[in-house]
Amino acid sequence: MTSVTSGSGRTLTDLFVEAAKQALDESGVDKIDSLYVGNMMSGFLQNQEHLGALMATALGREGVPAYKVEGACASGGVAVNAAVKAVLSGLEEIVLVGAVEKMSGYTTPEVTTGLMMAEDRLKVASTGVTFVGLNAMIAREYMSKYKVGHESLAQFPVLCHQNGLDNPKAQFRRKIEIQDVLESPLVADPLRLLDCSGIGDGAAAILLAPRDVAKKFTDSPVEVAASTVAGDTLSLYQRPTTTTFEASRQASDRAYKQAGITPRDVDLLEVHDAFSILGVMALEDLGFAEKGAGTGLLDEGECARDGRVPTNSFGGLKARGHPVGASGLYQIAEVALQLKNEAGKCQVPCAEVGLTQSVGGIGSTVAIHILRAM
Amino acid sequence: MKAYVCPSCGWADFHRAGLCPRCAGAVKELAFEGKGKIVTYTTIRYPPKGFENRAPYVVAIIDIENGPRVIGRVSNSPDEVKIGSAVSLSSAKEGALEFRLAA
Repeated sequence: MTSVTSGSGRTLTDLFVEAAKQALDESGVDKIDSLYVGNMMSGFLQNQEHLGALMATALGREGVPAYKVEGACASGGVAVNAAVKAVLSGLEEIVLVGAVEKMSGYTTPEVTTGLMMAEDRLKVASTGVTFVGLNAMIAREYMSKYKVGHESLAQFPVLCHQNGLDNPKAQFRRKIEIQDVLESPLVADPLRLLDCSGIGDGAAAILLAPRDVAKKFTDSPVEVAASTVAGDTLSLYQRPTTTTFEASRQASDRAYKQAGITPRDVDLLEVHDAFSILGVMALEDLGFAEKGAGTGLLDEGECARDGRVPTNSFGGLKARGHPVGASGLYQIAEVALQLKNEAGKCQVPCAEVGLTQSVGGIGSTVAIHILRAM
Repeated sequence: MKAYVCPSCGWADFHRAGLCPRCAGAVKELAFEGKGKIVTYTTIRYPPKGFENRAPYVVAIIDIENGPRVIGRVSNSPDEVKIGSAVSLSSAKEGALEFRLAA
């Protein structure tokens, strides 16, 4: 993983190669059978596509079969799902998955327009709504339906900033209080600046291989116990409710079955808290709280690193940063570090099973991974 | 306003669809009065390209009476808009619906 930063001047290729070389050097892997690159906005922001061949070349692996995988903000999670299937097919043995996004260096309207490409341009973007605006509509319906105050939702970014303090790679290493969230500027009512993840650049990478092959390279491999992707109708307005992501429920139900576990067996969570409301909804949609009761876990400190379900232990999208197409892979790399007991000051006690949730668009694509210590 | 409805599963939208996205059935065009109620809404303060001069403006999800759920702008001031407010369609330019609060 690279540090998540803004304005460093690092190119898309610089970021990707730094993360990918780190994965290769640390594992001692030299030859890879294929390369998967998760990314969302390179075409729009950098005028660059064909990231598969671009990154294979930059990494000194010219000619390796290479693919860009795009699923909006879930690109990183979806890329891992594609790579897992490649390994399970038996056609490819050692697969490098990297994910990268560069968002700094552009105007806010440019980035806002790029992010809206995850929704339907003709039906939805044509109204002038933004991605923050769509999430604000969810927050408003949620707060009204379940009688939840903004101060309760604000606990999520406060938790993430607390955890991010100990992550040297986090973009925002600053403690915040609930009052800071409630007094920060409105972006799209009712969501305020500190309800929202920021604009940042970063890349993460992992290596996947069959169990016997992985054991040749490391004494502490991590098992991918489940890898699922579920979809929902593209546009938020076409759903009966905005306050549940059906794709999160479907993908996590299937993942629990694949891994043969229930939510009670999960020792740590990395959820897609692009906005405070999404962090709270994730706790419910993934089966850790009843609908409308997600903030109860935060009230009781259950999501803290020493709580029952440590959540976003490296700072999550809010504090570690949300280079959109890369975030899903940061989550997986962070859970792997936790399970290997290599999470440094972010380490949670006794973690054997971890779950990641990566959300693309407004819940239109959700990738879930369950990792287990071996 | 025109809307498109799937007679077999009940799916409806204000944009033309060749096939019903839910059941792949044939879709029929029907006319609706453009009256509805606000399900949820927001005020956009940081707009995308092309909308820079309009902010702040309200965008809402609206249930059309006996018709589809839609998304569109509401031209009233943000302070006047509430969940449940009654609205009526005032324009449908370039596919983007604009509503105002019902009198």
